[in-house]
Amino acid sequence: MSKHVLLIEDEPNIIEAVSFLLSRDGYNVSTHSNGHDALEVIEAKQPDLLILDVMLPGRSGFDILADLRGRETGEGIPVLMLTARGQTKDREMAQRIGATRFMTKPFSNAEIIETLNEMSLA
Amino acid sequence: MSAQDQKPSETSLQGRVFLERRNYRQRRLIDAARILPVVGVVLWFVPLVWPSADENGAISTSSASIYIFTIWIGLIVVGALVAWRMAPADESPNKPSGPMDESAFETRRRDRTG
Amino acid sequence: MNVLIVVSLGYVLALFTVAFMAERAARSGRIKWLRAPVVYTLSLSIYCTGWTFYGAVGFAVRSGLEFITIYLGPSLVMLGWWWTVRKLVRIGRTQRITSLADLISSRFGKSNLLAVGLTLLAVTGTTPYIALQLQSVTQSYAVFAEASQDGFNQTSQTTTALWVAIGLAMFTILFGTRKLDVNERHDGVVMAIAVEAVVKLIALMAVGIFVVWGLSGGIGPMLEKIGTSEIGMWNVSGGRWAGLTFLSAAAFICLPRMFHVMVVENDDERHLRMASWAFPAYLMLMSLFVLPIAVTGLDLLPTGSNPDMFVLTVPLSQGQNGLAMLSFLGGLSSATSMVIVASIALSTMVSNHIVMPIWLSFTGAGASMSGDVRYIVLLSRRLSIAAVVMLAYFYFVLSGGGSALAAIGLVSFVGVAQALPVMIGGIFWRGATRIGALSGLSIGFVIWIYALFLPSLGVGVVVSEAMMANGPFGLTWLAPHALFGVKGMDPILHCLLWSMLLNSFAFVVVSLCSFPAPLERLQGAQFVNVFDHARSAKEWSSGAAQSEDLMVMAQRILGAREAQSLFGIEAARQGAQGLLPEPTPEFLGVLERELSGSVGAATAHAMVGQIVGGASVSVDDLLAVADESAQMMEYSSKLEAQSTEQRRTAEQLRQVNEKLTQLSVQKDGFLSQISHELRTPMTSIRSFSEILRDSQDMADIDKARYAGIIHSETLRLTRLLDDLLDLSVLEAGRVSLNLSHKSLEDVIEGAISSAGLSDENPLLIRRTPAREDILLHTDVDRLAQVFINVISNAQKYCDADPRQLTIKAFQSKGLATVDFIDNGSKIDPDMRDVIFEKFSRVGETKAGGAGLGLAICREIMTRLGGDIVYLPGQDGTAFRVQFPIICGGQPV
Repeated sequence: MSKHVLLIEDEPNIIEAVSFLLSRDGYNVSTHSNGHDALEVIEAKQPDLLILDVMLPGRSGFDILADLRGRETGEGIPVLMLTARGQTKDREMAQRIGATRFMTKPFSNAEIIETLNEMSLA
Repeated sequence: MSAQDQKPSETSLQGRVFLERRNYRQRRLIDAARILPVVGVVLWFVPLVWPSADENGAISTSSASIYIFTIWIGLIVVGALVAWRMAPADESPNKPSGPMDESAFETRRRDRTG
Repeated sequence: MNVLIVVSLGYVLALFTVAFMAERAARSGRIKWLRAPVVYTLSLSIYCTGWTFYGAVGFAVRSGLEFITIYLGPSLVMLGWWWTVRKLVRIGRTQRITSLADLISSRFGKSNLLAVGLTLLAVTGTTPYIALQLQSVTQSYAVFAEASQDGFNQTSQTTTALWVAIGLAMFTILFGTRKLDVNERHDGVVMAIAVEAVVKLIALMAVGIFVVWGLSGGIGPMLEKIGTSEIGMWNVSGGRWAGLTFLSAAAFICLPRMFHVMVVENDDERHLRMASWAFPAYLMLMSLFVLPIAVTGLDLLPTGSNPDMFVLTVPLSQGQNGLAMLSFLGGLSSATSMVIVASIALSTMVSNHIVMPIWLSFTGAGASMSGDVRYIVLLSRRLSIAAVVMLAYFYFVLSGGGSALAAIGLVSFVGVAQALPVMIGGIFWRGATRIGALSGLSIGFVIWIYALFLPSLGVGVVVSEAMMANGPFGLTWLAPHALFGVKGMDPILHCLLWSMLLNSFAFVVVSLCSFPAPLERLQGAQFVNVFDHARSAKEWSSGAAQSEDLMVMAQRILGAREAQSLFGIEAARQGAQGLLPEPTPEFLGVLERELSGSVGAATAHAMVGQIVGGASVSVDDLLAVADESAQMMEYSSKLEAQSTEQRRTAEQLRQVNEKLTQLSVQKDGFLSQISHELRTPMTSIRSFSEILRDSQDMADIDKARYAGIIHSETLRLTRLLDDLLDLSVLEAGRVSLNLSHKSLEDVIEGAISSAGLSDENPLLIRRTPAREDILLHTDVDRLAQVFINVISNAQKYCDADPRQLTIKAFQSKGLATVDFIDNGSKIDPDMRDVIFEKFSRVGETKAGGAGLGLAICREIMTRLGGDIVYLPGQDGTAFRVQFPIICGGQPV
C-alpha cells in the first residue's frame, strides 16, 4: 500500500515538480495551494506524510503547524517544512513547533526523496 | 484693555518704545472709532428738544437740514480719518485680520521670535 | 413709449454684460479690482431701494425732514462698525455663515427650528417689500406712459410687473446660482449692483442739481424757497424721530439682503474700514437733494399730484425728457438690485433651511445617497428664487398695487427688526440660549403680524373694523393698534415699542431661566469670543468617523476636485500618506464649515453626524467652555501656540526614532524577501533540470513542457534582477532623467499599447483624448513605465465583468494629474498604505510580479517631482499620478 503525501505549496511549478518526483517514486500525492483552509484539508485527508511550505497565502506554514500539533488528530503526522527564505531562525522556529524535518529551497530531487523515505520509515 | 497694554519684556528698549507708542496710537484710534457713533447719536438727537412748528421759537426746515448735514459731514470726515490712520497697522494683505487687538499681539510675538 | 422700452432693455442688457464680464474676470483670477473696497461700499447701497429712491421725496412732502431718519440709522451703524458690523463679518467669515437665519441657528446650537422660523420671518417681511419694488417700477412706467398720452391701464400695469418679475428672476437665477460656491460669493451680481449704485446716485443728483441750479437759481434761493414752503418749519415728533432712526439702524443689519451683501459677500474684513465712512457719505448724497426736489414739486406741479413720483414728474413737467429718462433708470436700478439680492438671500435660506432638510429626510440618508447633491442644492435655490419673486408678484396683484403698499416699507422694517435682539444677544452675550431665542422671536413675530402686518393689508381684509376698534372678542386691551390700552400712538411706533420690548424681555428672561445644551455653549463661546478664538469649535470626537465615507459625501457637495484638494491639504498637514487624513475633531470641524457654506450649518452638522455616528462633545470641550475667564483664554491661546510647536517636534523625534528601528527590521525583511523571490524560481529550475537530466525515457512532449517551465522561470529571475537594480538605482538617486517633449496623449497611448492587453480577457479603456492634450517636458519613458505598470495592474487584478479602466487627465497650477480608475473591487483600506512597499502584493494570486512594480512607480514619480497615490472614494481601485508638466530636471 503506497503512502499518502499531502503537499501544501503555492507555486504551481514547484507543485508540478514535486508531485512528479513523488509519484514516480510510488507515493500517492495530493496537493493544496493556500493557507486559509489548510488545516481542514489536512484533517479531511489524514495524510501519512505532510509537506508544508512556510510562505503560504492566507496563513503561514508555521501557524498551521503549530495549530496542527495542538490537535489530537494532527499530533503524529510527520511534517517536512520547506522554506525559501534561507534563514537559520526559520529552521529553529520549525524545530521548536514540531516539524519533523526542514529543507531550504532549492533542494535536489534526490534530497527530497531521501528525506521523505526516511520520514516514512521512522 | 490694561492687560494688553503691558510691556513685552523680551524686546530691546528701543523696539519697545517704538511698539509701545504705535500700539498706544492704535488703541486710541480704536477708542475714537468706538466713540464716534455715540457722538453721532447725541448730536442727531438734539432735534428731540426743538420746539415744533406751532410753538414759539420754531426752527425752520432749512436751518434744521443745515444742522443735520453739517454733523453728517463732520462724522464722515472723522470716520475717514480714523479709518485711514488705522490702515497701516496690518501689513500682510492676505490675512483676514483687520482688528488691531490681534495684530498688535501678532507684532509682539513676531518680534520675540525674530 | 417705445423709446422707454428700448432704453430699459438696453440698460438691462448692459447689466447682464457687466455681470457676465465680472464673472469671467473672476474665473480667470483677475479678482482684485472686482473686490475692491469701493465695490463693497457700493454694494451696500442696495439699502436704497425703489422705495427710498422715489418714496423719500414723497415722505418729505408728507412729513418734512422726518424722511432723513431712514438714512441716519444706517449711517450710525456703519460709523459704529467697530462695535457690531466688524464682529458680524468676522463671525460670518470664520463660521462660513450663509444667511441671517444660518447665523442665528448656528449660534444657538445649529438649531434648524430657529433657522426655519427666521426664514419664515424673512420671507413674510421681504415679499411685500419686493412687491413694492415691482410697484415702483410699474408706477414710474405709468408716469411716462401718461406723459406720452398712451393708454396705460391696470391690466398693462400688471403685465409690466409680470415681465419685470420674470426678467429679474431670470437674471438672479443666471448670476446668483451659477455655481454652488462654498463662500457664497457672486462676483457678477455684486458688480452689477455696484454699477446700479452709481447709476441711481448719479440720477438722483442730476435731478437735484437741475432743481437747485436750473430751476431755483442756486443754494440761497433754494433755502428760501424751502423756508416758505408748506414744510418750511421743523415739525417732527420726537418719538418718531428717535424711533425711526432706531428702526432703520436695526433693519440695516437685519434685512436679509443687507446681511447678505454686508456679511456673506464680504471678501475682506478691511473693506469695512472704507465702507465705515464712504457708505454714510453715499447716504448723505442720496438724501441731499430730497428736500429741494420735494419743495420744487410742491411748487411747480398741480395739487394732488403723487409726490412719490416727483423725481420723474418734475423733470417731465419742464420738458427735460433726457433727465427724466435718467431718473427712470435710477429708479429701475434701485428696484432691480434690491429684488436680485433679496431673492438670492431668501432663496439661500429657503433652500438651506427648508428644502434641503426635507429632501434629506425624504431620501433617507445624507451620507449614503447617490448622485451629485450640488445639483439638487442649485435646483432648489433656483426654484426658491422663482417662488419668492412670483410670490411677490401675486402679492402685488392681490393688493391691487394701491397705496396700501406704500406703507409696507416701514412695516417690513419692523418685521425684520425682530431678529435684532437675538442677533445682538447672540454675539455679545454667552448666556443667551436657544429656548430664549425661540421665545423672543416668536413673541416678536406674533406681535408684529397681529399689530402691524395684518392691519397694514387694509382694514376689513383680515382684521375687521370692529376688531381694530374694540379688540378681539371685545377685549379692548388687545386692539391691534392699542395694545394694553396704549392709545393714540403712531401704529409703527406702537408696534415697534411693544414687539421690541416683549421680544427682548422674553429672550432675556427665558435665557436666564434655561440651561443651554453643550453645543450651544460651545457655539456661544465661539461667537462671543470670535476675536480671542480664531479656531473653530471641536464638535466631534474622532475615531468613529470613516474618512472615506466623509470624502464620498464631501465630493458630492463640494465637487470632486475641491473635496480632494481639501482632504489632500489636511492629509499633508497631518503628515499622512495619500489623500485620506485621519478624521480628527479639528478636521471634522473644518469639513463641517466647508459643507455649511453650501448647505447651511444645521444641515452640514447633521450630515457629518450621520457618518461620524452622532454628535458628541467631549469632557475637554466642556472644560474649555466652563473656562469663563477671558484672560485665561488669551493666555492659553498664547501657550497653545508654543505647546503645539513642542508637540510637533516631539512627534517628529518619535517618528525618526521609529523609522530607525524599523529600518533594521526592514533590512532583514528585505533580505529574506529577496532570498524568497530568488529561491522560489530556482527550486523549479533545479528540480526540472534534474528531472530532464535523470530520465532518459521521457516523452518529447513532457521534455518540451519542462524545458518551457525552466525557460519561463529564468525569465522571471531576470525580470526580478532588473527590477531590483532599477529600484536600487532609483532609490540611491543616481538615475539621470532623460527629459524630452511629448504630449500626455502620446505617452498614455504608448503605455496602453505596451501594457500587453490580451484579447481573451479584454479590458476596455475609456479616455478623453482632448483633455490629455498637455505638452509635457519630463522623462517620458519613465513616465510611460509608471503608466504601463498601473495599466497592467488593472489588467491583472480587475475582477469586474465586463472590465473597464477609465483614464482621466486634467491640469492645474502647472501640475498634470492622471487618474486610473477601474471598475473592479477596491483595495482593502488597511492594504492601501502597504501596496507601495517593496514585495507587497494584493490578493493571493501570484500574477507573476515580484511586488516591486508600485514601489518602482513611486520612486520614479518622486524623481519626476510628482507622486502616485491610491485614490479613495471611487467605484473601484483607483490610482492618481500627479507630476509637474515641466519637470525641474533635478532629482528632488
